Amino acid sequence: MFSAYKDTIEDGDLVLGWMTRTAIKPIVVEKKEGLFNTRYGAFPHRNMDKYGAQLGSMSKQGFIHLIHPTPELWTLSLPHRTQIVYTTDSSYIVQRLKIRPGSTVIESGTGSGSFTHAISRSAGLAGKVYSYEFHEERYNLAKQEFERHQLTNVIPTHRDVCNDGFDIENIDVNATAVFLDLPAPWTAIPHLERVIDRSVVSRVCCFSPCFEQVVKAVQALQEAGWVDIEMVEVAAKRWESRLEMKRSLDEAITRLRDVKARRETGLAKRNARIKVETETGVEEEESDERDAKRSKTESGHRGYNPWGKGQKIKEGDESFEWTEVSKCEQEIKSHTSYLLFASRLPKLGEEVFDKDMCVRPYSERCPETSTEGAEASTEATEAPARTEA
Amino acid sequence: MKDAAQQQEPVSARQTQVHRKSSKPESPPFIFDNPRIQPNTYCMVKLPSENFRVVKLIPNQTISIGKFGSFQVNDILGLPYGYTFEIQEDKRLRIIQEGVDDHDYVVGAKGALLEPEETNQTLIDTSESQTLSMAEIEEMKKQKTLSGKDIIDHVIKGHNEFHKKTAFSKEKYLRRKEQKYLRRFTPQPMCSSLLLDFYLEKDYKKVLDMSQEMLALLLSMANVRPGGKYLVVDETTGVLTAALMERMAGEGLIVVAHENEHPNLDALKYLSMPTELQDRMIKSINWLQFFEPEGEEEVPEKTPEQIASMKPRNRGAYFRKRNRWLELQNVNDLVANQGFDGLIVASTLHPASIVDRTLHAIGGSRPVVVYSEYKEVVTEVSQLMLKDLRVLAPSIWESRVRKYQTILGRMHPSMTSRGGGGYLVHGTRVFPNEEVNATQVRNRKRKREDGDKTKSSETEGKSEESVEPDTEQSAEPEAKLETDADA
Repeated sequence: MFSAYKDTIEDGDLVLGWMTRTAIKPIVVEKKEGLFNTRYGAFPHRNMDKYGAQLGSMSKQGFIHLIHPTPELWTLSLPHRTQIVYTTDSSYIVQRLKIRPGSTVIESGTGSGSFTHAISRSAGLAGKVYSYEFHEERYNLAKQEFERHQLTNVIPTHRDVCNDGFDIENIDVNATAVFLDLPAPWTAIPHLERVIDRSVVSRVCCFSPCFEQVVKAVQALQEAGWVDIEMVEVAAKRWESRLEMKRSLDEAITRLRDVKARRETGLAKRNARIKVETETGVEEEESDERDAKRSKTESGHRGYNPWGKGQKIKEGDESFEWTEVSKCEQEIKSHTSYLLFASRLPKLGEEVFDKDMCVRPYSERCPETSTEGAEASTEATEAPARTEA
Repeated sequence: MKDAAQQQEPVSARQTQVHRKSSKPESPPFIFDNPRIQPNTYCMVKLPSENFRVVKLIPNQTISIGKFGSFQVNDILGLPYGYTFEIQEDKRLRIIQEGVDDHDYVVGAKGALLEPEETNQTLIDTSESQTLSMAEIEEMKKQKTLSGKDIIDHVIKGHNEFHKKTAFSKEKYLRRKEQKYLRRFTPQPMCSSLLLDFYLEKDYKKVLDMSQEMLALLLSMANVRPGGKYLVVDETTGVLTAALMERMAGEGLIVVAHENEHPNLDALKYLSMPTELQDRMIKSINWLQFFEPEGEEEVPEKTPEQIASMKPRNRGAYFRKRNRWLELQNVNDLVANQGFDGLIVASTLHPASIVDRTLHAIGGSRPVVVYSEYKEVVTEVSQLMLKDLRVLAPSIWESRVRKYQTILGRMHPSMTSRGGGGYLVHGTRVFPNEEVNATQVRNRKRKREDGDKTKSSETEGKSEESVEPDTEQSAEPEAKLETDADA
């Protein structure tokens, strides 16, 4: 599900029923009996055939979209059990920790399992994700969810890593990337030494909302021999595109001129009428004014109306001119957490140094391998292989 | 619309055929993150000045890093990346150990906390404070027996007012001197993030000013993973494609659509990937071939007898052309059958048109992600997506990372950082249902008539949907704009 796309929806598949951006509901498809009931109508599962389809409700009054789950969309629809790591943070963490297919990753705590999905995707089937959670119920829920979602590379563990470390019986964890979303990461950092792969560079990210936590974590990292310690903050904004009507100054002047002219003619007519009335002593019917009122209720406006004042105008209506603009979301997440990164360099063997602690040349360190032979095939031009018809 | 899954059968069959023909016998899988420094690969060398160089590590060669000296390539081969080396007077390299080789020989300088009583009240720091002349310092630099650290020692001793400085300013002073005199360097493995650094430094236009965080966001939003088949428009000199390769680890397909004879994917060379891997995973197609596939001349298959009777040179040419033609057919099949798992665009060729004209090739519920240096460009794409019922819920994203000086006791955000970084718009490819949408339009019209009877006053500026009773009704295609926007 999360490791490859499907086109056809089958029994047991997970579908995200997309109603609006803020209403996305996970559905496990049971073609026989299943019914997805929403305020937009009822949607029998048997009608769910294809990912991406726009599906009408039984009454044809509403619709939903049938969306294939991805870690990022799952983040939008999942049942929150804890504060989650948002995509702008999680994507950056994955890139900085170099989580790639085949990576072994430690995550603690599991929380709502949202970031676990993203790591699992990026580590691929060749990788492994050891996810630790100290809260038993959250652990159980996450474990079930990972099984349902077939995140086969995720190994959930119920554990308080701060007290009990990361070791798992009979397993050589050998992680190269570590993500610590814990209230006291500094208590977990000393335990990492035993579970990271010391033959390569390991990377860690501590995710803490408070500055004081960062300071303590920096101390712990320094003491444990981590280097390249750097704290960053991710500030993300979402924008939406809108259309703003172009209202020209000339049109405003023309309109004012029109208003003025109409006032003057109206005044002249009124004066003429009053004059007639005082002369004849008979009150005339104010037909013009009534006509004007009637026309106002019909067209919504009187006189020169360049911008559809008083009418219902849809954004982008082709009879008007528009400017494309962007509007920032009303409430931004101005602080999620501080991201504290560090690396642990691999152990160096004694064969690397000479008596002055200087690096011995390659020929002395690895006399049996010739550097020429190890050449990467970057330059090799490829002759097409023979076909077997 | 026909079922894409069914139509894909022959595609995959043909694909394996092409692959079998073009791939050599099994070679060991390429390691993207080789932890050890490999010969004949590119490497980023970071310098004390915080500058860097990208060098190719050819065995038996010497690499000069300017005023910081030079080193023998062979000396660092096989060692892990990430260690800092100091060039000794006899050209040998010493590995710097953090905490041991730092300048903590100046008491209280590194790691010291700012004391409130500590001030620089009595400090009179003028050009007179330094008793060593420029010529004397230059002379020291020429002496091969003095290390960078020795020179800094002398410079500090020659500074009359140094001890009056606060710990804070001592450290700052030291760092400035280190950047100048230390003959140190740190090799780092090339990767997509460092490629961005490299091009941003050289000419930001070459990567469309893309920041690491925006690249990261793009890769996540596009759900890039092993085995995916992506339609990519890459005008970042290939950094985007390189990043996809890192995330796919040899499984899947990247079809690069381009506007010239050949795509510009120069950055790929820095990852030192085997040609076989690139040939297998990256296929290119120009826009003419994409939109007018019938214009390509077929290279018909020859019988084994015909092949046997060909001259070896012609045989090679035949296989090349035939393979290229089969590849193009394979790409065309993907285009025709909504076979792509995502559309990823980072291009200066009008992105809105690219999205509009290539959406049909993207599979159901797959992501469409467009990056641009400019918000105006993604805004235009977003507008197009809002109107196009084939895309669900477009939104524009901006992500900016703020880095901190991370030294205990004096943590603060970096004083300067790069502006820019770009924007992206993400939407999901969907299949509009004509029947549903027709009903919705009918319902809407009816509703409008009802609404006119009951409501007489409309507030100016407010759009119609916002005053109708069922604004929540996302199910109205025409209400798409409003309901999507309020999320």
